[in-house]
Amino acid sequence: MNKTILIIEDEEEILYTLRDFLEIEGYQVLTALNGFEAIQLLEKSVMPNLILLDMKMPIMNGWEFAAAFLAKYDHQCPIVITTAAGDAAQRAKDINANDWISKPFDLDTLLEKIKQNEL
Amino acid sequence: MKLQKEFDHLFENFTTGVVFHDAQSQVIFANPEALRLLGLTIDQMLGKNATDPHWRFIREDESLMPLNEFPVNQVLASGKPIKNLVIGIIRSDLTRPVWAMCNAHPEFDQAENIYQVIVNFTDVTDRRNATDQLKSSLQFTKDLIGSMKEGFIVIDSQWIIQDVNPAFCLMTGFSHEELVGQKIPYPYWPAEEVDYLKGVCDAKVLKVRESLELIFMRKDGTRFPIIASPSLVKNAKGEIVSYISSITDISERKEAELKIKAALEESKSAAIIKSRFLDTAAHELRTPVSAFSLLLQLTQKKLEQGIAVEMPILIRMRKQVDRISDLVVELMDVSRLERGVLNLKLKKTDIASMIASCLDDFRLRAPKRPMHFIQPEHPIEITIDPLRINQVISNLIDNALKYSFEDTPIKVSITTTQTHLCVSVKDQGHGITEEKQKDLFAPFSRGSDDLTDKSGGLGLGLFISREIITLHGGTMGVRSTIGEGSTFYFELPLDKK
Ligand SMILES: [Mg+2]
Repeated sequence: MNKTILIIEDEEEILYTLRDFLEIEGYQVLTALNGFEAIQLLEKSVMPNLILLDMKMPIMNGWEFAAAFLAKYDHQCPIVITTAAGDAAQRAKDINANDWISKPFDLDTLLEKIKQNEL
Repeated sequence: MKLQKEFDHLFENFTTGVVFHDAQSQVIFANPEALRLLGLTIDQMLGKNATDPHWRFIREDESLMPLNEFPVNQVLASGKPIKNLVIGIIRSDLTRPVWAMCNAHPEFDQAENIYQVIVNFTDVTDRRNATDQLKSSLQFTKDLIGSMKEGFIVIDSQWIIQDVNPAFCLMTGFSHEELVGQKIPYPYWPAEEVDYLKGVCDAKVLKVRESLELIFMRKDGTRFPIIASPSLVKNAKGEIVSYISSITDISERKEAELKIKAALEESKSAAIIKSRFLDTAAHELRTPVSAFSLLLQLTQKKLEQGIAVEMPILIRMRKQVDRISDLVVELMDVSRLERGVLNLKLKKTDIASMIASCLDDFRLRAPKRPMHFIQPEHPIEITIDPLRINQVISNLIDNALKYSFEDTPIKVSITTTQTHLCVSVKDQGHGITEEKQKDLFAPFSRGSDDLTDKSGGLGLGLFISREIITLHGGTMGVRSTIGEGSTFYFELPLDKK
């Protein structure tokens, strides 16, 4: 069975490009434009094998999503954060994420990170 | 004879000039000191009458002394002695008078008639000159203090104001009479200064050279900052007799300091705004650049894996490149406006048809939105830079579409007065609070953390639009009611007929 990735990202163009790419790579892809959409989505879908989480988003940002997700699901699914901030590693640690990838990244690096962390 | 000789000898060594006059005021004797003071020989003196017009004496105040005031004449007239009269002796051989302290007394015979008058003089020229010098230097000091811009105040050891100069009166609004004789503290005297100076006196500090900044109160109750530099005046025994303080009004200096501080703050906050703007600009550019890069990589992957690259992905790439180039144009406009080098290319333009075709473009992009256009019956020709005015109108319509609800209409209208043309764009959005209205047209006002604003761009559109209208000699503004919507408008001067 194909593995499932949930991408949470507020920039639509980036979100859909990542989706298209991961689909080519054989993944099942779920998308959400912010943390709130993601929480709603998780209630009615299977637990993904990995969550790719953007930090700066409207409505519910990466910090808030991570807190809500971990409170409800604990570490049932690894979280990799995507951020443009210089201290990406620190941010990942702050919110108890499994790994991080600095923006801008290229698709090969992203795929590598996913393979390293997915369930 | 021996007695006469001893008598002469006695007077010869006197340091006081002695002259004997007979009852007719003729000189019958003069000693050498008298001759020296008067600058005459004994032959010139003897037999001379006090009424002789060659004698020239002056009074202490340097006015000419009349004959009847001459000591000998006064004594002969009154029969009474005179004491310590200061006389100036005018001598033809000297440019300045010789000053003498003069005593004269009558000698009576047995019939109680004056038979001679003895006059003696002491040379006081040196003393008199010293006094003159002191007086003129005191006067000089007084004039100097009087003419100074700085205030001066003299207070005695009993805390009574002895003197103030005109500058002090000017800065405090009190007259000389109101201040002199007042005991300190009076209500207008700052307590700090009194305490300070009393402390200094109590401690018997010999020198006070420290100046202190204080707030003074004027007669009208207003306050102003001063610098006081007090110093103590002591007598020969070292006791403090008074103190003098110079008082400098430093309100102007303080004001200048405040202005500099404000300018500094302003430039600091301008620098903060600019740096925040740069941050926003970088963020805004990074997103489409990174989206474009991902799209390119995706296309490459597809080509590598033999997957068909379809038209939509190229349109998506084109959209990102357009976004980047729009941002670059926006930045260049702002830069030109800031440097004042945005030049208009003026041309006679039919503004109504220009707006109509602009609206047509928007109808293509948002086919579901109702857009109304209200224009005058007659075509309006106006001299403008058509590209720039089109940019302004597009910006206003674009904003109206972005900031109002999906199904609400947009209304564009043109109206004219005798002198002006007014274009307004009305939406039925949320409306804008009065506080936000102020910042709308300011450059760089949108914060980089304003993520709820998904409209993108740098928030410079309205700033650029208003600058363009201003360059045309027009004005731009907004009217808005919360819950009802906003109307953005601009007015341009019509061509003169
Ligand atoms: Mg984001």
